[in-house]
Amino acid sequence: MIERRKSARPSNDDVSFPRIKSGNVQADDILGGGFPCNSINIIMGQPGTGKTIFAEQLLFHNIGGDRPLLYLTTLSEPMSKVVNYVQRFAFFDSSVLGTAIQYEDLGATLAEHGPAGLMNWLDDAIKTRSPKLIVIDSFRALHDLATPTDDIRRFMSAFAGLLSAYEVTTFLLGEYTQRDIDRYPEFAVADAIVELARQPLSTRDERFMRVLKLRGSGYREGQHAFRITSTGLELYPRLVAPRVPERYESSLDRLPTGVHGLDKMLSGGFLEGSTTLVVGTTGSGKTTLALQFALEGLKRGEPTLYVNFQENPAQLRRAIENLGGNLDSAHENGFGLLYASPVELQIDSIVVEIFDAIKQRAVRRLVIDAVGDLAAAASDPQRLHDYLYSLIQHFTARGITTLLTLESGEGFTGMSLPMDQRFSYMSDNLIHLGWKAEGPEHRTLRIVKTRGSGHDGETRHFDIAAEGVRIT
Amino acid sequence: MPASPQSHNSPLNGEGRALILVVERDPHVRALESFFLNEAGFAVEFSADGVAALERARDVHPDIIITEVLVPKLDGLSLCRAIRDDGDLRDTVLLVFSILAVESRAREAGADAFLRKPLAERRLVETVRELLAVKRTPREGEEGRT
Repeated sequence: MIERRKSARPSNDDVSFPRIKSGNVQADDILGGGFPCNSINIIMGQPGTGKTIFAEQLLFHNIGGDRPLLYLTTLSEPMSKVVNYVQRFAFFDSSVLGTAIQYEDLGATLAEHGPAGLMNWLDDAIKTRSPKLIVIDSFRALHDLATPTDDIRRFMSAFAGLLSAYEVTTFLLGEYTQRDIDRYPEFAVADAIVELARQPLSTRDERFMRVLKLRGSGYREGQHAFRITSTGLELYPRLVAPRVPERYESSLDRLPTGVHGLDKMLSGGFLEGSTTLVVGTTGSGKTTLALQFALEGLKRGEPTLYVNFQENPAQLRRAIENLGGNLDSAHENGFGLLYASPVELQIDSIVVEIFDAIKQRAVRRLVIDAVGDLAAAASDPQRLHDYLYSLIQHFTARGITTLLTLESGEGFTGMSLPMDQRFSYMSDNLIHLGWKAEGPEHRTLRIVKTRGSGHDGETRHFDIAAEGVRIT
Repeated sequence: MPASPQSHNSPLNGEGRALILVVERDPHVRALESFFLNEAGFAVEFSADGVAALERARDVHPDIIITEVLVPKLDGLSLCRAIRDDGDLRDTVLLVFSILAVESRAREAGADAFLRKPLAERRLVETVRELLAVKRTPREGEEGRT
């Protein structure tokens, strides 16, 4: 559980510090490797944000050796409740209770003796139990004991002094608010501060983890989404653009789009590794064009992933069959289909799923239909923008040829023109599909831009025939 | 941590408690060192700065000096050098126990061992015992440390 970073220097001259793992790979990644060992850390957040579960997961992960781990409840949550609910999680192991993990209810001690009672208890526990890790839940409750501010500050000084002198890692849990950071002394002595938050979004809540402080180490800034599952916290670290492209050799090879007439307009197809945005109103043929692009990949033996938020798998199977494809044989030949309902869509989790699928299948051709649905799943337009930018950078760095569809402003989503423009500048190629409800030549296709390549800029008419989009 | 079975007897030979002089300012570290070293059967004295520690060492000739580097008046590394330069004290076992990662400098200053804080009682007590055992059983052909 405890790891020391490699260094060329002798171990006791090594100023890097060992880490304590949280039991959650993604959380450790966000924390730059885990919490520092022998430190005082604060896990803050309103009731119900997942503090206790996070701490319990960490505790059970760090069982080992002959030094116990202590979970101390104070005044806000009875120990019986904490123990009762933790049993439901996969990491729980009843065989270690009372030995490797020791729960203690200090509510009565605190009520009778105040913070000094906790201090005496800890001093005794260090001398008689040699704890490796201590969780105090809730530490904020100590401020509710009507103790004068001076006494609290003196207590905090002694508390931090004792726990810093001894080889123990401490976690203070509390229903702290941002305002508390400036007024409570524990925030000044804390080596790490992690906030768990919950924000309402439409009919559901989004949960986020954020590191506010981590002494002596870098960490991933910003909000990282998570959800609570039977295994504990399932985290989705915020996507950031790769600092250095992992593999970005500009290719002049062209990938046929699956639409013969479009290939002619593009001198053979999309450049390998490029990103194309297909914009159009509802019913303009975006999904048909996207499916043709994906099926062309299948025909050519290129591992292909189709990410879809609108048509359910049955609808998509029918659409593929209408284009002459067969979904079952397509799966066998490396065609991946990833469907997420737009109702339950969480932008962070879908991104993780996309990357997992890309890695598993070594995907070369990718469709996301439609990126506008991600907008509905994002609580913050800027965050969505950053996400998409990072996402596209990752695809480019991996040399994946990507097609994104976007429903344009006049459609049902009410997407504004600025939104279209924000998406379009991220992409190498932009294709606009238009249609009018009436008239013999009511469907139009125009290549608005192609980056690093010439193209036919004329507005072309097309129809949707049995084989799909057909430029006329 | 259960007390050593040799508690309150000499950890060396049962003829008396080995004396440890601890140079440390931090009251919490002092309290824990006092508790665990006493539990392990050692007699412990404290000095709050390097100059006082050197004077006390000349008076009591401790078996081991445990010193932090960051102590007033005479820092822990200078104290080590002063002990090694003192004809009467040069054989005293020196353990540097510091918040600073300075093992190489501590060894250069004459320390027999280095431990990094925070305090881990087992590591501290075992190190002290090993150092005392080495002191009492000099290698063949040696008369104590030179």
